[in-house]
Amino acid sequence: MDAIYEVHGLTKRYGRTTALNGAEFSVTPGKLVGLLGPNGSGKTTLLKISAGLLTPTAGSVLVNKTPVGVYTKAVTSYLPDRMALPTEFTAADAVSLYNDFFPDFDKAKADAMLADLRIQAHDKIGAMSKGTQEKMQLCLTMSRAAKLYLLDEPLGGVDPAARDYILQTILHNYSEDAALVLSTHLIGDIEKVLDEVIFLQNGKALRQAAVDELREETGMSVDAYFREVYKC
Amino acid sequence: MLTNLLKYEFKATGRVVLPIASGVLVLNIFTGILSHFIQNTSDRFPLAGLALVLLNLAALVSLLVVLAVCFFIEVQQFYRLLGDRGYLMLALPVQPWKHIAAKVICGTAWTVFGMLFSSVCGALLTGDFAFSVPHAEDFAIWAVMVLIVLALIAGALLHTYLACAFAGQFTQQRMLISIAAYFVIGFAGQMAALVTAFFVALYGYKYFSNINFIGASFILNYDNSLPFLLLSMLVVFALIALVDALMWALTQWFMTKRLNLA
Repeated sequence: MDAIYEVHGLTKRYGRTTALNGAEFSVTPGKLVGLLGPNGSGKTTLLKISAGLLTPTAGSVLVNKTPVGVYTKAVTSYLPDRMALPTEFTAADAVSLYNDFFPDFDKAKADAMLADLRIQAHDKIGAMSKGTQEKMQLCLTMSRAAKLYLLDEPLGGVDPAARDYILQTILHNYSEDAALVLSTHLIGDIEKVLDEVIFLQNGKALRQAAVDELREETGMSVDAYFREVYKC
Repeated sequence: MLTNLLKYEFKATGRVVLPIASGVLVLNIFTGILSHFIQNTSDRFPLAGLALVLLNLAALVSLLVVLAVCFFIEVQQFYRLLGDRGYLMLALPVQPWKHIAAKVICGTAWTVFGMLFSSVCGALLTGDFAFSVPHAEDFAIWAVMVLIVLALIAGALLHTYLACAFAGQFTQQRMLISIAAYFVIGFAGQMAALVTAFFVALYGYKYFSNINFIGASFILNYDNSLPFLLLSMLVVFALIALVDALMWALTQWFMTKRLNLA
């Protein structure tokens, strides 16, 4: 099957610091992939470049065989690692913005998900708790029928109950023919749902493997393997 | 998509500008009415006269605040576009030039609104509503003057956007670098204008020397100088538009080739 997401020799330098150093991998549709690595391994930089928010120093990212640009943004649903929705917006404004700009956005789905969270249309985003803001942002991201989902630390900074909600939202809402790449440190929580993992170290893709194969080969869980690989 | 961007831009900025403008309008109407009743009684009530002077001062300052808010609201929006807000807005399937266009159009519109609003409030404050209406014969000149003013406002905004986009290359101290870049770009622009003026004076004097500018006769008498005046104004407009285009192109280059969200 043709890859939906390809990263070729991706390098990003910030002055003398190298965040990515020739990262290389590809992801096929229908896969839920964990992008794993310690702090500073280049996960966020990689996802930002793939979402078109950062210009690489060298190398390229292809989404559906197309370099990052207006088309790839239309087929990629990106969840940043921070709150990006304008805090002065109401929930209805945010839904309307997604509906106006993304042709693949399913407004009915978003409304239903927000209703589940008991978020009213007139609720101001700035007045919501941090956890609710993050859940809302995730709901909007997952309400798109994108070809590629890029989720940057969707489980970071939320309580275990919210983590479960987020995982369920991700699993129930991404289309089977799409690929989903999520970066996280909390491997134990998501290990059971991942199809593949990509280990990043010092800006390089150290290893890409199917989760089942990795467990069979190493005799360890992905979490244990992660601790082994990145032992300080 | 540009229409959608404009819709959100006006909605986001209108939330700030309109309540401030409403408050200032109320203050100016109140001051105008109070002035009408109190202005001739300051001999009998000196404290009331002093209060009125302070109120008038506050009303004038409020007009400056509205003008400043109308201009800087889009500068702030652009600065935020290259920060946290960009994680949403720059991930939209929209070409970078449309983001710049939306900010320039919205910023220019608010600045013009601020100027007109201040004029109306000034009239309310002073009670002088004698606005001069230009003659139909002057239409061409007024039209070009309006174009020049719009190009100057857009240029002032693009100047700040370019400074912000340049500062966006750095991971720290972006605000400080934006301010420094603003002055450096301004200085470079002034030097370029000086050199241009020097060459125009050096090589253009023989064309200008035949024109009689004294006493503004070219406006009042509509003599043969009118087409030349119009042409000169159009040249000025073209030069401003050229500088605007250059700043736009540089800003767009930074946003496409050197985008570096913090």
